[in-house]
Amino acid sequence: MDQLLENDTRGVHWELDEPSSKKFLENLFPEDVLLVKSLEEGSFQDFSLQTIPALLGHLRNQKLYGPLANSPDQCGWLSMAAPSSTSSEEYIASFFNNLLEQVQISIGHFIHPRYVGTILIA
Amino acid sequence: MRLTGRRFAFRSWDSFNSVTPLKGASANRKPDLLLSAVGSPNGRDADWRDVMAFGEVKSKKSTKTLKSSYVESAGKAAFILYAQDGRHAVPCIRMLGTHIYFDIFDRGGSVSTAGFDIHDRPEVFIRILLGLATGSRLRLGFDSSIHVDLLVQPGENKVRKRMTVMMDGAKTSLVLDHLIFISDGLHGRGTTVWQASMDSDFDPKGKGKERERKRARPGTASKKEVVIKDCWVDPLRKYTEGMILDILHKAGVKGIPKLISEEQVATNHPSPSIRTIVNNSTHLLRSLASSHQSPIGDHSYYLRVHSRLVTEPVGFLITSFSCLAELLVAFIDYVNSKYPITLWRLQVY
Repeated sequence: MDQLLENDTRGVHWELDEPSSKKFLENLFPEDVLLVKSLEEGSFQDFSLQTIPALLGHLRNQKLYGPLANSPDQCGWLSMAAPSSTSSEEYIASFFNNLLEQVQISIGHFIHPRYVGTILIA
Repeated sequence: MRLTGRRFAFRSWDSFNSVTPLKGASANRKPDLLLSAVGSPNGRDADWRDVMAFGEVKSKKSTKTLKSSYVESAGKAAFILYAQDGRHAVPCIRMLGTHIYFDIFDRGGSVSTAGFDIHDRPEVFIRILLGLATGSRLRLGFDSSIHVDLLVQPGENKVRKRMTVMMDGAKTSLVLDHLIFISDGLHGRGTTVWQASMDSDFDPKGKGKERERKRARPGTASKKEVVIKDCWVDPLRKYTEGMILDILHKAGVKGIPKLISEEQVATNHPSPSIRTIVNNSTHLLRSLASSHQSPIGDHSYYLRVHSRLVTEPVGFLITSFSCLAELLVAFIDYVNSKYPITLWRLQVY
């Protein structure tokens, strides 16, 4: 399986350098779409947080985001230490979801598309 | 961990299936992280058909984990493309230690960003996270020409998928009734074939009264059945499949599908800042990465355009024959017949 995949992807896989990666992400996910157009109308919390640096600064100031001071490996984020029984995957999923929630508390609610069921027509 | 009960539920990440394989695939695969819409089945009921994006996690970044995580991601992207008709690209992330990589797999190949340390480059990390969580379906690789309706009915809600195509010089709405075939390849043509019927509620000019009249006379509207074939074709070839079918039809060759329409599927540009309708192609995604160094000139990929073919009649699948003898009789009839077979209509998709 892995060998087949390697053959399939050989020669058609792009590994972008850092400047191209940044440009790619900025084009695919522009700031104004992420922080303005993807929010529900009327849910804006703070109009000054419409850029990613401003949002990050706000989250840091509120102590909602950033490495924990007592975490030597800098793995504690969002003032949320991982329980010892938690797997790294569970911790990362929890971290991502917490961060998304804190962003919404700070800037407003994301537009909520309905779930329409499974995709495949069988 | 799923946070569906939270106030600001939207799409959420889940790690349950890092130890439990997802449903809907012939082989067991366990993505470390899943991104799915709130309300979709989760945990043991999670299905490849509902996955919006996924992630792979490795404890550290090394040459070995960089390669192995990419190959694992490619395999899972292939599963999603096979499980979700009307999906043309799959985004995913790889967390290698504290480095995040963003990948997109499509019919032309794959694009991976450089790795960004989430501590040193939090602005890139948060852009990826927000982009996946809030990005439109188009940005996540879904076909914007396919509309998904939720039909609320007593007892059970139904999902209906439809698309608008040009038939006999007029826009016609087709309801996708049945998936006949979907390619299991990661790259290349990505052929998908549906059986479809005309949407009896559709009014190309948007005249409400006409629609109401059709509703008032149920069963009187035409239920013409057609076959829709979507695939990603090489635009540099001299003849398209539709052109070949047309040539054969004009030459009087019998027993082949009759071409109703052939078109290149139009879509919004993948970059939200470019408000243009363009023909869908694998070039569009890669054009987002072009910079001063022009990686397009340094990299190769499969240049493909999204083609849609509408034909008739609707045939039977070879797998729908009840036994080998029945199939052989049908083939013998087909070979011996000078005219289109009416009993067993055989078609090759």
